[in-house]
Amino acid sequence: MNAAINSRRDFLRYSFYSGALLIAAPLSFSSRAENLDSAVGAITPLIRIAQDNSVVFYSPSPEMGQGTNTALSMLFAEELGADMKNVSVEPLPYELKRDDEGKITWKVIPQFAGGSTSISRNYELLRNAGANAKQLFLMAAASMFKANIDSLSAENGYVVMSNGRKVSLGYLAESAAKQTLPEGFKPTLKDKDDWRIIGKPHNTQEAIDIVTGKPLYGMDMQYPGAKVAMVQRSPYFDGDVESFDASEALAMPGVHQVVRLPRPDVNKYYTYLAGGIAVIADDFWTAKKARETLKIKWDKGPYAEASTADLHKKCDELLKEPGQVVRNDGDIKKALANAAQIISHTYKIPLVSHAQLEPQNCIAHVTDSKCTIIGPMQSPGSASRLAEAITGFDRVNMDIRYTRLGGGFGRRLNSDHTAEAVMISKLSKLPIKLIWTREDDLRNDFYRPMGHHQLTAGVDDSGNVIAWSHHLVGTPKYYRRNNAKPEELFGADIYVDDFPAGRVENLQYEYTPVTFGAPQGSWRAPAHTANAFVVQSFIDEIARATNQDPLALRIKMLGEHEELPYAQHGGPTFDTGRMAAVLKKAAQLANWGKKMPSGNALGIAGHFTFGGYCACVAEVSIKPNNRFRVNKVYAAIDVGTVVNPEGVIAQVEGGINDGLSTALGQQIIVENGQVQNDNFDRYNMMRIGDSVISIEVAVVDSNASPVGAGEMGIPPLAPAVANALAAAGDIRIRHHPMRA
Amino acid sequence: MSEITINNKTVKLEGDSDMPLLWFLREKVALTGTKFGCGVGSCGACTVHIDGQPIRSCSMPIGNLNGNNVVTIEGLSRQDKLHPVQQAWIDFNVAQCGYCQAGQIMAITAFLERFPSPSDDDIDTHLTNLCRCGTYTRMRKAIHHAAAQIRAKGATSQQQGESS
Ligand code: FES
Ligand code: FES
Repeated sequence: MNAAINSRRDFLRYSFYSGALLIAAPLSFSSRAENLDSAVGAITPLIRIAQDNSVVFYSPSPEMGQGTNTALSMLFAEELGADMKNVSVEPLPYELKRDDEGKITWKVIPQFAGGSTSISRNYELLRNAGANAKQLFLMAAASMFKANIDSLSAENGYVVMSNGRKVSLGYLAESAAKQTLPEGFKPTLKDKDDWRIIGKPHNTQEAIDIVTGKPLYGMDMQYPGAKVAMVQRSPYFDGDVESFDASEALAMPGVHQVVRLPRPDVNKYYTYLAGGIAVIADDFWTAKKARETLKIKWDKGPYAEASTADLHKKCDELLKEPGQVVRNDGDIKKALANAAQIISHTYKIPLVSHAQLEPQNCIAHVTDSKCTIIGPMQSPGSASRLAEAITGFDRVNMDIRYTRLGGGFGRRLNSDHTAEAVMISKLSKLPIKLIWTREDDLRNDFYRPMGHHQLTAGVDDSGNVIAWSHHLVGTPKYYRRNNAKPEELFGADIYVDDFPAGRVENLQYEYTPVTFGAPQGSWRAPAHTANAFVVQSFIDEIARATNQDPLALRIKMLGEHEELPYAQHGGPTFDTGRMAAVLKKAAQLANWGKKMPSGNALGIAGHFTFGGYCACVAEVSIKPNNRFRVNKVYAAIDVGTVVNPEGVIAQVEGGINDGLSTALGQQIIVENGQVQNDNFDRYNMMRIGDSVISIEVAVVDSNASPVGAGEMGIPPLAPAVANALAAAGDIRIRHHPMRA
Repeated sequence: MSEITINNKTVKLEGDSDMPLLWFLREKVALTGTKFGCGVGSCGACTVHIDGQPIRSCSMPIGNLNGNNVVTIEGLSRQDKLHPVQQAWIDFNVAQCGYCQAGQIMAITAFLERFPSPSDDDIDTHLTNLCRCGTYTRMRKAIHHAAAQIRAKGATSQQQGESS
């Protein structure tokens, strides 16, 4: 049996568990926690310390490669005085409770991963929890050794007394667990200057388990008696089963049941669930072969004829019509009429898939009284809500355990996979492990929205941008969100405070939604990827058309150092000075302006994503046969106070290669209502042979409040590459995939 | 039915002869280190060594095997000593989500047998495993480092061999 199925629920009830113990310390309230539904007076079973001084930290953010296991344990360990060498990390089982008014709230701490929020949400929460835990150890040591508590400190896994004597946290743990913090105790957090752990580079905690193939992922989990379930889903968006014949499948040895999945009311469930037939068998191979024998007549639904080719044509047409004006500063028409020069270009972004490498999967066991869910989730909260809707059980009493994720990228903010698993277990009355094939995964994604962007700028005689208009026609992410009003659909696809808003006097953002059957969802740095590509490419085109240096034009447009209001996620402000600083830093690393051999050039771009500032300079070489190679990328990132610089660098590097992979080759193609390129032999993802050969990242540390770093590296990459290509060989690519 | 060796243990192959080795490993002998990514031989997440060759196990039916020697990620380290590639992966902090990395490591250990001093071009041409997290740039550094470690060790053991 693998680790995740040992019930931690039992051991949460007791202080002692196989010689180890659980520290339960009141959580202090953090300013950032106030607007979550939140953590008041919660108890924190966040760590377990054994006699040998080993510390297990239970992480409240599902780990999907973004490095929060390491960064969050660092926050806690810093204040506790633990030694990171002794710290290991496991996922915290999902815990809810009812407060006094009966409202459901977190039992321990908010548990979620998305939007690069794990660091900002936990920065104070976990340091306070660590400091509270430390106080219990100091109290234990003070009473054990009759010492004055003020003379004690904790560091590197030991409580240190004034005479230099050291006692390990492990030794004190049993006694510490019996202490109670004094009424109204408020911990004093360490000064930044005294940090021993935060701000220092730490490698991934689980590296050894990963390189030796330990079972960490949902796909690796086992559950007693679980059968493998596989679903034949409608190949048509919003299609459903009209009739089916499963007799052949049912006659196969090793096949247990075949059940039809009802298509639930999407408004009630707020997710997309495909109609289909589930086969339940002893193992993957039997389930897959049985699934192939199903004879299903599909009700093709409203999108049977849909194609992405038609969708792009429709966007072209709609771009000619006015859209909904979502931001309007000054007088765009007049400014354009007065401009010395007008520049206008259209950019096209396709639908793309998350294609996280671990296909969707989930274990579920629904009995008459209990619901257990084990699997890869970014949002166990949404998994529990869906399970409640399906089973009718109180979600407070469910046993939900998220595993490590073989990639998230926003895909597993949606809980369609957990809902399917719960539904199948409920219908079959069997514990099941649902496994999606890659084809299932690429066909049934919540795709990143596509769109056509028209940008128009008016420039005066001195090269100042005096008018800016951006019209996006695209498939809105909010299209299937319950009760989303048509006039609010733009909100997830065009962020009205994004640069250059507030910096160009006459500015207009326009939006036209296009309906398409494919579900849309959040994809790493959601709309920032598309918008950074078009805006940062377009600024370069303006620079070229008006003979200005692309970096200088950006700095000029950012203007005076000022904090502009920013009402969307990542706000409340956008700091033009911090943006200019990362652009200059990346340019300095790259030796911007240096002489390069013909066919080689630099391109620059910078973008503000979810509170973080990142700029890239890409160095490209044009190769024969219309090919090119990104030889090097220089990047600078400012995410405020840096918790784990090594983690930040890794995220920027990963974002750069991920951004290149997506821009180069990825697009989902739909014909006759069906996704055509449903495996990696047809959906082009980058391999090492096209990857960026070398990357240099500068992390700008500051005292600004910290934000995560998982998404900021992606948006500036594609425009930096496009701009470099334009500089290297007069090739201006205004579409993704850039290789198409 | 036929037998194979998996990580030095003899194992009887059971199940449909068209069942891919990947699923035999994962579900019949509980070696879940070998990953399922695509099932069509494209991503390399399922790479294992069969008689020393890197093979994508999702596309290798067990019926084709008899007497072969299979090594999976779980069997790569000897007596708890990590393979230099595994060590380099830790030292260079390569993994992000980590899901591709077992397959990467199996592909690269086999690659380094053929190319003990690989150039960047060799890497670009012969390594085709997929990493969605984009760890390629670190991987490249770690490959060069591991290759140097292996060469140095090989040189040492050769010297020892000569002097004894
Ligand atoms: S799972 Fe075998 S190559 Fe992808
Ligand atoms: S580390 Fe996530 S796919 Fe490679």
